[in-house]
Formats: sequence, C-alpha cells, structure tokens
Amino acid sequence: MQKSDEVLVNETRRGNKKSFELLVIKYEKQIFNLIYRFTNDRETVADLAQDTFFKAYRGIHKFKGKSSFYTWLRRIAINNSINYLQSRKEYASLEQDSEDAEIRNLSDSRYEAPEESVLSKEMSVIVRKTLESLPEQFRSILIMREFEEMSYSDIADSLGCPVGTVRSRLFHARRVFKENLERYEKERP
Amino acid sequence: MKCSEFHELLSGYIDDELTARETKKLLGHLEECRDCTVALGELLQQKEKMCLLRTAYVAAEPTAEFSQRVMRAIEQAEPLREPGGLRLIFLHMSSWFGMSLRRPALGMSFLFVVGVAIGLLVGVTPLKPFQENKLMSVYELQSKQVSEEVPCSTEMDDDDETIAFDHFAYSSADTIVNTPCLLEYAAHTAGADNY
Ligand SMILES: [Zn+2]
Repeated sequence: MQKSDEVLVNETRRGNKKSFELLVIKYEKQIFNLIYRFTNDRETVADLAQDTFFKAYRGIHKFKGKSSFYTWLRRIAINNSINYLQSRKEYASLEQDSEDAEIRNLSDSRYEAPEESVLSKEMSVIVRKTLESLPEQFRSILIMREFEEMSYSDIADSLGCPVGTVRSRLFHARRVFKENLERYEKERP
Repeated sequence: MKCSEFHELLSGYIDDELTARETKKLLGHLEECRDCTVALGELLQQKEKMCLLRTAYVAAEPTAEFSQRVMRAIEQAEPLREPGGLRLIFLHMSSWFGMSLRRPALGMSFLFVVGVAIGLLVGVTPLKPFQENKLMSVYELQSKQVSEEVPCSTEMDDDDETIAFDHFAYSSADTIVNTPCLLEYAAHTAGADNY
C-alpha cells in the first residue's frame, strides 16, 4: 500500500531519506512542469527542481502540515522560479526576449500543440507568445491561476500579498493578455 | 458602480472567487448591461484558450536518475562531523549575527570575522567564496524582499531560529553558503526593519 505524504514527511523528519526520495519521485513531474511554465527555460528546469527539493528537505521541520505537502512544496518551487527570473533581470522586460525565446521554444520538436483541442496549432503558438509577452508579475499570476489552478488565497500566500491584490492583479493581467492577444492575432500572416 | 468596476468582479466571477453578495450584485448588473455580458463571454473564451494551452506547455520528463541526483545533493550538504566546540562558539555568536544583520555595515564586518574564524578552524581559506557568495546572496535576497511567505521563513518561530542556527553551527563554510534556509533566515532578519 502506498504511504501517505504525511507518513513520508514524518519518516523524513526522523531521518529516513528513502521516504523523502519517494516524495521526490511522486512530485518531480509536477514540479518540473510548474518551473518550466514559469521560466520557459528547459535548460534550468532540472537545476531549479533539484534546488526546490533540496530546500524542502532542509526545511522539512518547518512544514507544519497546515497545508498539503504539495502546496508547501509548490510554494518553494514558485519562489525559486520567481527568484530565478528576477536574477535574469527579466522582471517586467520579458517582451524583448520573448521573440527569441519563442522561436527557440516553438521550433523545439518536443513542443507539441494540443492536437485534439479546438485550439489549432497556430492559435496555441499565438496564445503562448501572448503569455510570454506579459510582464513577469502578470504572467506568473496567470500561470498560478490557469495552469496550477491555485485558489486566490493560495496565490496570496505564495506571493505574500493580500487576496484583494491577487484579484485586481489577475484582472489587470487578463486585460493586458487580451490586448496583446488581439495584437498578435492581427499580425498573423 | 461603473462598468469598469464590474469588470474586476467578472474576473473574480470566472474564478469562482466572489462573495455571495458580490455575485448577486454582478448578476444583477449583467441582466441589464450588454457590454459587461460581452466582456464576460470574452473572458471565458480567453480562459478556455489558456486552459487548452496548459496541456501543451509541459517540460521534458525528469530523467530516471533525477531523484538520485537530489538525494546526492542532500547527502553532500549534510554535516560530516560533530563540530563540538565550534557549535558553542557559533551559538553564542548567533544572536549577534541576527542583530548585526539589521545593520549592514556591522553585518559585513561580522561575516568577515565569521569567515576568518571558520577559515582558521577548518584550515582552509574560505574568505573569498564565503564573503562574496554569502554576502551577495544575503543582500540579493534582501533586495528582493523575499516574501515572508517563503515556507522556510513563514513557518519559522522561536524554536526554528534555534534550529536554523543549529544548521549554522553544524555547517562547514561551504554548507553555510549553500544552506538556503539559513540564507533566507538571514534575509528575513535583515529585512525585518523594512517591513
Ligand atoms: Zn456593465
């Protein structure tokens, strides 16, 4: 029978590293995807993910079980990703780099547009380009809401801001997203 | 209330994050406002596009060895020996460390002294990596105003401070530089005056 996260966390606290490794195996894929969506940088995903789990292990005694283990882990991953983006000095200036990143990533053979969805491959390229064009604050919050499906209060916890700020930032993010999407759709050949 | 104010409510509405009162107010407005109804439709379309993109926006799978790689990093960072007297020295210094971080000039000199002390005790010359990396990390974190919600910091109470400094006390110079929680603690303490 599979052990619950709570059991694995307790065993980790008591010094059982094998239990922590089981937690890594359980969540590595989700953490990889999350970090990739934030950073849009395939090269650093594994490093940031490793650092996320490393921090979780070192701070495991600070996890009080008020939230689920994944919620707590996700907060570390989000902080890591945002700090990484800030260190790349991309905060609020992704727009300039996005052309390059977009070409690099979209020509990446591993990038597959959803085939069976209503969103055509061409459209998903535009939606993605739009997302990448947003200032970092807006992009992050949209990723947390639409991809990670986090509640406003979880987002507020992650960003260390009031829930009201989350609501208004999401509203502004969506407005800018809409404007940029319309612009890119017009540019479409 | 103007339409522009309802637009923010629309965004909360599609996320199912409005209070019952706000929902009632919004639905009442939607019944009589064509513009806001159109705006709601657009928001839902936009959300749908994003959600579809979600399935395409995935990272390469972690390799089979990823978990081993993490465990290796953890093993390597763990203390290799009992520090004995070293621990005591650092525990005495820890309160001063916290205090001095609130005053950057003092903090700098303190970290320098700590670097020298560790250098003498472990018989290496850690000044360069210690001073540069650690100070940079501390002040980088400080300038970023690491959120109080960073799990390492938020769930930190008085007991945890002791534990953080246990890490500090048990660690080699390299480990201190590479211990995120300690660095976050340092930034957290240093930033306390700014809040
Ligand atoms: Zn209206």
